[in-house]
Amino acid sequence: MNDANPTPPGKWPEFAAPAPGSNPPPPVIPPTSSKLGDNESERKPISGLVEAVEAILRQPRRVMFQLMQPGPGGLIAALLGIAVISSLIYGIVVGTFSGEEQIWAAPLKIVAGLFISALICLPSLYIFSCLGGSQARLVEVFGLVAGLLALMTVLLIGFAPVAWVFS
Amino acid sequence: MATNSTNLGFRQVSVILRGEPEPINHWIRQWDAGRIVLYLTVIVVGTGLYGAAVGSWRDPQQAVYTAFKFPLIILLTMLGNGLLNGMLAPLLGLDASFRQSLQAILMSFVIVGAILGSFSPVFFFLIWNAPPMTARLTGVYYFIQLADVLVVAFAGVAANLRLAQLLRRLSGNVNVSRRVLCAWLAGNLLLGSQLGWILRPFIGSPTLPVEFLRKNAFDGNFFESVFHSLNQLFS
Repeated sequence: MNDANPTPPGKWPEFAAPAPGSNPPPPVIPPTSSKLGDNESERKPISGLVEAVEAILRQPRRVMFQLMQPGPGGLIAALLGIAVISSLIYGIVVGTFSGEEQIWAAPLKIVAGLFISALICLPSLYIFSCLGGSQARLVEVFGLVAGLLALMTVLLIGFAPVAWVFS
Repeated sequence: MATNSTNLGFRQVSVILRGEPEPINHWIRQWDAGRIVLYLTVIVVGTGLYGAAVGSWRDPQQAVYTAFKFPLIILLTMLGNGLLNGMLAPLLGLDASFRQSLQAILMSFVIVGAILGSFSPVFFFLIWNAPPMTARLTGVYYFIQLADVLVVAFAGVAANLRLAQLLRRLSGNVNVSRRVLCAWLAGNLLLGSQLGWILRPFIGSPTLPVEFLRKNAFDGNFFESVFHSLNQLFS
C-alpha cells in the first residue's frame, strides 16, 4: 500500500459510522505480529533443561529465535534431552499397565519410535519447507523438530497421572 | 551474496527448491561446471536412493539395479531431448541459449531428485513394514505401486511448477512460457516413458527372475502397450 490511510485512526468512514445512540465501536486491537527477536525477552539465551521446558511452553518464539542464532547445538541437545527424559517417564507409566518386562520395554520403545519417526520424516520436512519458501536451514528445521518432540512429551507427562489412573 | 554459487555450495539446492528469482536468474545466465556437477550429484543420489527403496521390496539385488536405472532414465531423457529442447525454446519465442535451456531442465530435475531423495527414508520404512512380495499379486503390491506413482507424480508436479515460474521470468510472457513448457514436457514424456519401458522392471515381479534388463526389453513400446490395454478395456 503506497497511499496513506485517508481515515484517521479512531474515526469511522461515513458509510460505516455507527448510528447515533448505538453502542460505541469496539477498540481497535493493533496487530501483534512482529519479527522474531523484536521483543527483548526473545533475545535472552536459553540455558539448561528447566529453562528450555519453560521456554517451549511459554515462549515458543524465543526458542525459534534462539535456534536461528549461531551455535544452536546446546539448545537442540537440551530439547532432545527433555524429549528423551519425558518420554521415558511416560513410557514407565504406560508400562505399568502390563507390568513385568513392559516396565522397561515400553519407555525404550516410545523413545525409539518417536526419534526414528522424526528422523525418517526430517528430510522430507526440510524439502517441503524449502518448497514452501521457508528460509530455514536444515539445522533450524532439526531444532524445530526437537522442540516439537520436547513439547509433545512434556504434555504427555502432564497426561501421565490420568493414564496411570486408567492403567 | 546469494548469487555467488561457489559460496553457497549445497545450499544452492534449497535456493532452487524455493524458486528464488534473483540467484536463479543469475545462475542460468552463467555456465559453471561445478554447479552442473552438483546438480547431477543431487539427481543421481536422490533418484538412486529412491530407486533403491522401491526395488528393495523384491530383492536386495533389484534394489541395486533400480538404484542405477532410475537416475539413468532421468539423465538419458535429459540428454536425449537436450538438443530438441534447446531448439524448441527459441522456436517458440524464448530467448534462451542451448546451455540455458539445459540448465533450466537440470534445475527442475534437481527438484525431482531432492524430493525423491527426501522421500526415500519414508519409502524404505513403508517397504520394511510391508509383507514380503508373494507370487499372487495382493492389495499390498497395488498399494506400493500407487504410493510410488503418487510420490513420483508429486515430485514431477512440484518441479514443473518451478520450471514454469522460471520460464515465465526468462521469457517475460506467460503464453511463451506455457508453449515452451508444454513442448518440453511432451518431448520428455515421449522419450522418458519409452526409456522406462525398456529399463523395467522397477519394483520387480515375484514370478520372474531379478535381472537388470529383461530379455524382451526392446520388444514393443510403451504406447503400444497403453493402446493394447485400452483396446482390451473397451472391447
